[in-house]
Amino acid sequence: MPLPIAVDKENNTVKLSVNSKIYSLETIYAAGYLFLDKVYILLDEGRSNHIDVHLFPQNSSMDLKKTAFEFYNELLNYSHYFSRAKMNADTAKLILQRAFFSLSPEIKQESEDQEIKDLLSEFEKEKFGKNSRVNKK
Amino acid sequence: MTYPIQKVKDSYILKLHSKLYDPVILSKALRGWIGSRASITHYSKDCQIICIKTQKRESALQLANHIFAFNRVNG
Repeated sequence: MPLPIAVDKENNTVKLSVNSKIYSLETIYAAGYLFLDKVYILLDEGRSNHIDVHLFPQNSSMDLKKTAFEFYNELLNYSHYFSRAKMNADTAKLILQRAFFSLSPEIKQESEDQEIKDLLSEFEKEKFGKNSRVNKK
Repeated sequence: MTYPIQKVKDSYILKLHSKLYDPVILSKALRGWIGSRASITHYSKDCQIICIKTQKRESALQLANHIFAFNRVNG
């Protein structure tokens, strides 16, 4: 099976082919950001549904193949991170809301008061609706 | 292997795809570079490819990293 890594020793560069169906552009940016101090990164459109990532090392003594494999590991790492973040977004939001409420009891009191007001207005609406129906009869 | 950086005469051309680099972010990232170290040379007809010319290969690579970082932070 051919590796999606092409090392060009003559020009001291490596090209990685990343399937955009598996890894989003956001994931590629996140993974690449970690390597900005070691390599120069350039993205290019590859063959169907693929993005070519070109890595140009900043110092010539770098092991290109190893760097490429590290890049793939980071892609997986961030892909997992983003999918988890998406899954846990609602829970995280709830925890944050609770934390803010516990920090400021006034907000909690205000929200409880608002909730009671809403309930009362709903109740009054229902009551008014029933009365008007009785009057019509 | 074809590279998105190509040497043309005495300068280097950086080829950027609008699919991969957001043009709005790109325009912000290029502030400070255009006029001093780089210049826009060419837009493709459908505005999918933007070519930027620099005098040094190192400048082209530094600009590529700068745009990449800008896209990561502002994207």
